Amino acid sequence: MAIQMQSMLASGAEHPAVRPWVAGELGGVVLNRWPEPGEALPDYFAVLGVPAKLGLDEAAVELQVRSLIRSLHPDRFHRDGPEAVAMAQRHTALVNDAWRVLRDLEKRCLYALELAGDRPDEAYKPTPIELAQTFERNELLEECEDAPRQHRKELLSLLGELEGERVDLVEDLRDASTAWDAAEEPAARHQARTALRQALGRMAYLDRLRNRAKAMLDRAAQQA
Amino acid sequence: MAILIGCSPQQAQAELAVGIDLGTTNSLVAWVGPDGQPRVLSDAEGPMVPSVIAFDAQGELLATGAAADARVHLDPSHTIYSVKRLMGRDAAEVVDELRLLPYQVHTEAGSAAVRVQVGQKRYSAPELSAFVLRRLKSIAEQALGRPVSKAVITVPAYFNDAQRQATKDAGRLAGLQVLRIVNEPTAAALAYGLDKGASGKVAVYDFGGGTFDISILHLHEGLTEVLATGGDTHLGGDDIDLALVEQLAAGLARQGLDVRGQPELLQRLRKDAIALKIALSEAETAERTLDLAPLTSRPVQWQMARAELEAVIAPLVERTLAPCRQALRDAGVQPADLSEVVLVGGSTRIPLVRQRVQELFGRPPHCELDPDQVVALGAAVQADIMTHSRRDMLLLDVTPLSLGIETVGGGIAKLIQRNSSIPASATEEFTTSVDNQTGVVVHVLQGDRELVRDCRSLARFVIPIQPMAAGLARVAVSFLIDANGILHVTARDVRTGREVTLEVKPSYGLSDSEVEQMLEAAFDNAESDIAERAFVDLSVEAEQLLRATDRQLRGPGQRLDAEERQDIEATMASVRAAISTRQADPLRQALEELSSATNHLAELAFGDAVNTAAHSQQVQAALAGDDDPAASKSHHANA
Repeated sequence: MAIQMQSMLASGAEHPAVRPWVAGELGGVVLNRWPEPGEALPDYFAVLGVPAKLGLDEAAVELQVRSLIRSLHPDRFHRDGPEAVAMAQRHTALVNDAWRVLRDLEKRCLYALELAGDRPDEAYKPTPIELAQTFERNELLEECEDAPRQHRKELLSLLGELEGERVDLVEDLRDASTAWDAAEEPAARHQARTALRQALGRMAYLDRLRNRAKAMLDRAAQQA
Repeated sequence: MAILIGCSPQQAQAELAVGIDLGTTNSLVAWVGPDGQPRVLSDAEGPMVPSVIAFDAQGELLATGAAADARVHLDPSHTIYSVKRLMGRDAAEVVDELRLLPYQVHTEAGSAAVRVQVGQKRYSAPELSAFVLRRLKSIAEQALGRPVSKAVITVPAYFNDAQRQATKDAGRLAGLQVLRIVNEPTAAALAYGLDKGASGKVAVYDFGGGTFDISILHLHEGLTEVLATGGDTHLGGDDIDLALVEQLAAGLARQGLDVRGQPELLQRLRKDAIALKIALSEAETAERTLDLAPLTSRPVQWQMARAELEAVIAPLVERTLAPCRQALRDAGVQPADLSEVVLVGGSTRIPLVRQRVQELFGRPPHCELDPDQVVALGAAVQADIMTHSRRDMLLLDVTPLSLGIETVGGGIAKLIQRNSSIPASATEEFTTSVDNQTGVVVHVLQGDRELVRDCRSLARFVIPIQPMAAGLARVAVSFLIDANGILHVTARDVRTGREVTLEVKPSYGLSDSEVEQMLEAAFDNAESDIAERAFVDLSVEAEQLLRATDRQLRGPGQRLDAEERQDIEATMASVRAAISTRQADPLRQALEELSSATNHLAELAFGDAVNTAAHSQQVQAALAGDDDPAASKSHHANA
């Protein structure tokens, strides 16, 4: 699956319209054969029948998802018996699962890297400047740990900083995903992949800091 | 080799499916007729069936609905209400609830589900709810003249897996195939017909008897899609009533009347509090005569102003607002983006609630439909969609709580985030950490807190594994939340592809075999149930009549001659004897005799009542301006 994905991603900008794996309209509704045990499910792009691109037209895919759900939802199969309902249930869940991941740029990029065999969180390598900054921030959080109420101001300003950096990172991620979609040469693909990893890895790091700071602020609020 | 599933060609005879709002305080049943319009079905007592079940001293069913409600203050320990608060709950979770409830609750070995002790019997919450559902089923069957076997039942959007499962079990126990568990706010949106062609984002604010729910929905071309939901399963009209009872008790204490430790009296005060609350939704002040027996024989007049009520309930109303803001955030919606705000639930009749909702959302709320009926009507619409395979309309719900599994160290790995569209699934791969390990323990939780101890345990199970070197075994466990919001777990050996059989023990609740046993018991009793029901209705009537006659004999009955009096006493004795037979026919006959024997007595009592009413008005007029009404006001009008 990962290999096929790679080839699709590498195959250039123009994709033929892909048929969603889960359904087609043929008078009634055709539910695809569910894979036998051991067989893999199709990837989420294929499930929804959208080109495997990171630059997804979210509004258009949302319409596609709605029309799939309309024809697949288990409520429609009540009269066809419990087996049909169970089958519809699995198909609808798969569409929902796919859309949950693909509708969000970050999750979509993470998923694409996973398909390509990457673990971006582990692959992230901070620059020396980032390292120094991380060191400072951890120190600040240690200081706040015991008396978060006295450090409310610092925590809030740290949160502000983190949010700001995150906004910039989303832009980085968008650029990297455009590069990934456009990359044809192995060198360009490798570069795009590294950029994706960096942005996603850094986001995960920021989120951990943010959660820690938020938890302290919650504790401060409880103390009040 | 595709599996072809079309619409079934033969439109088999129309299935009768109803929509049921199984409420904390009241329940309703509704149905969509051939004209496509949903309507609430009712019997002679009206559409609202109090969710109350009355038992006799042995724990045998005596009555449901209004007849049972009438017994709440007569026999509090055998009259069960607010069962919904116990659904899918274990003992630790209901500690707070029990403060409100006058009956005894137990747990039994091998099951965390609570049981209610009634006489010598113990009932689970689904069994108790099934009594109410059976009543609704029979109301629908009588109104429609045909058997009803299928239903859509609503639950608060914020109900967890166990609470939904318990509701489904209750339906099965009542002999209903539960087509769907639907969230109450979503049902309300369907009833408003907001779906038909309309587009836009809608907030449904549902403040019911026992729970509070907020849902943000997106409507487009017949698709009703829930974007986010939130709420508080411990916040409802019951809490308002309790706060008012406490306010009344404090006021009475200032007059030297200590009502604590008087369960029957507290139940009457609860009714008074409810009456005052309802009156204050219309009027600026309300008055109520409190019967404080056995504390004092003199009735006490009590006045309350709306401002006082609002001061008492303001903190409760305030508690509804935080979940509203959270749901807006989760949905990524600003109040200004909303095209409608819909009110559901009896508590939204309170002006303060409407005012706060209007302030929060910045627009006057919708309330054309009766907030008590709107959920049942919506459930009926969903039942109609499902049984008639209507393709133009579809409801897409979300799961209210995140689903996760316990990780090493008491943390939680989230598998499906809250507010994900359902059905939804997630697969997680497990392996072993030591050689020859024969199983992996999985603990499934629901909740949005970071620690296991703050979340609701749903189930525990062990994945059986063939002994082999550590890390070699690979088992993929799939978690599926179905369209009802109920979890299903399956597992597969990744290497062999074989299905792994799991024994998933729900942390709460009834196991399948327990439900089967209860079902069998229910079928055994089905026939006697019908005869029993007829007797039960009559016996409730008989007891009311006996009490009234007794009272009148002591009052106006003093003026009857000895022969008339003897005659009445003899027929009363034969009614009592007929009750002990537990047969409907002899009781019916005895009741007729009693009612004809008491004709004269009734006339006397009626005349007295008219006089007393006139007298009491004079007394009240004379006492107006008295600064201690409780000390001197007294009248003895019997209803």
